[in-house]
Formats: sequence, structure tokens, C-alpha cells
Amino acid sequence: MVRPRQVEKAVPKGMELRKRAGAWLQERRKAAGLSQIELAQRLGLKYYTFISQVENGFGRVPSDSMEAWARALGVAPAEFARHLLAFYEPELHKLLFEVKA
Amino acid sequence: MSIVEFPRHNPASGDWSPDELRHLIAVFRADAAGASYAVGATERGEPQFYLLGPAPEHDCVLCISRLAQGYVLEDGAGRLIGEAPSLDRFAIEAARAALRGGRSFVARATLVWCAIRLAIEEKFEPLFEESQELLVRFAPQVAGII
Repeated sequence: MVRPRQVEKAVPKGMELRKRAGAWLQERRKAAGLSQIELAQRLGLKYYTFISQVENGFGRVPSDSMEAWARALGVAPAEFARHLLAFYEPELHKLLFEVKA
Repeated sequence: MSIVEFPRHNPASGDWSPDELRHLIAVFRADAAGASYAVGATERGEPQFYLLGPAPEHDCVLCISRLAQGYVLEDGAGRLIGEAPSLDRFAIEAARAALRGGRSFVARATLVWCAIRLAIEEKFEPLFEESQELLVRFAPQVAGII
């Protein structure tokens, strides 16, 4: 019988990148002077638990709410999306913004 | 929309109790091979349990949070799936919510499977003496099939 295992060692690259994205989002939120609850309110969420999920590196900012997150944090939406893309889809980010012709 | 903010009764309640963690692991143990979990906490110290998908990405499939007055279940995209005052009640409510549809397939399948497992595991308990509870457990699944 397979039981879930707690992830501790050898953190996969994808998870590591999500954690870095979460840390960046937390920095931006604190810089904006917002608590998780206040950010959730601005995003129209019933609970603030998803903010924590994302900041802890276990979730992603949904693409359909990136603009709202960006505006709530006082970041230009395009810059916000581009920055998160580097964490969430690094290869795509590389193709779009880093590879020179 | 106003945020639901539960008062924090116990500042030291930031961790899952061994019983809670055991219960959560038991409920979700039937997840596919390669599944894993992690724990974390909100800014206010409320514990969170993350059920993760298969390697290598280990995407969060479900997130269970314990707030001061109950448990909240969301999928990996932050969609609210269920709320309940206790973990036992929680699995039932979550399965019922999942069966209503509109959630990710993985989250729905996981929750339905959990509900079925709970029902099977408890078949030797005095379930038949509690017809109302039995109805609560099976009616959503039957409704989903119909």
C-alpha cells in the first residue's frame, strides 16, 4: 500500500522554482504593506489560505488572475507576468526573453 | 466580497496534531504511486497540508488548511472545494462538493475516491445503526452517478 511521503530531500527543480516564486511574491506583498488577508480581500478570495499556498511554493498564481495580483501588489502586470514566467515556465521564458536570434 | 477571518484562539496551534496528521495521511493514502505531501502554515500560523501530485513537478493537488473554526479545502489553483468543522465531516463535505462538478478532474477524482474509501473502511463500524449518516455518505455518490 502506497502512502504519501513528506517531501524533504532532493527538492525537484519545479518545486524549487515555485518556492523562489513564492518568496518573491511574499517580498512584493510585504513591500506593498499588505497582509495575506488584505491581499486576499483585494483579490476577492473568500479565504487567505491560497495566498499562503502560493507563497509557500505549493501553488502558482493563476494566469487569469495575474493582472489582479500585480495591481494589488503595485507591480506592472506585464513585468509581474514576465517575472513569474521565469519561475513557472523557465524554458518558455528563455525562448521569449533570453534567446538571441 | 468580505474575507472570512476566524479569530485565533490558540497561538500555539500552528502545527498539525499527530492525530490530525495521521487522519489526513490516512484519508489520502490511496493516491497514486509517487504521491507525497508537505506541510506549511499561513502567515498567521494556521497549519496547511499539501497533497502533491507525482514527480517530477509535485504540483499541489489539494490544500487543507485548519483555521480557528474549521477546515478549508482548496485545489491547487485556489478554488474552494469544501469547508467543514471537523476532519471527519470534512471528507464528506468535500466529496459532496467535488461531485457537484466544476473542479479539476484530479481533485474530484481524489475526493470521490477518499469518500469511497472512508465508506468502505467504516463498513464494520456501527454505520448501519446510523442510517442518516449512511445517507449523507452515499447520497452524493449516487447522485453523481445518476
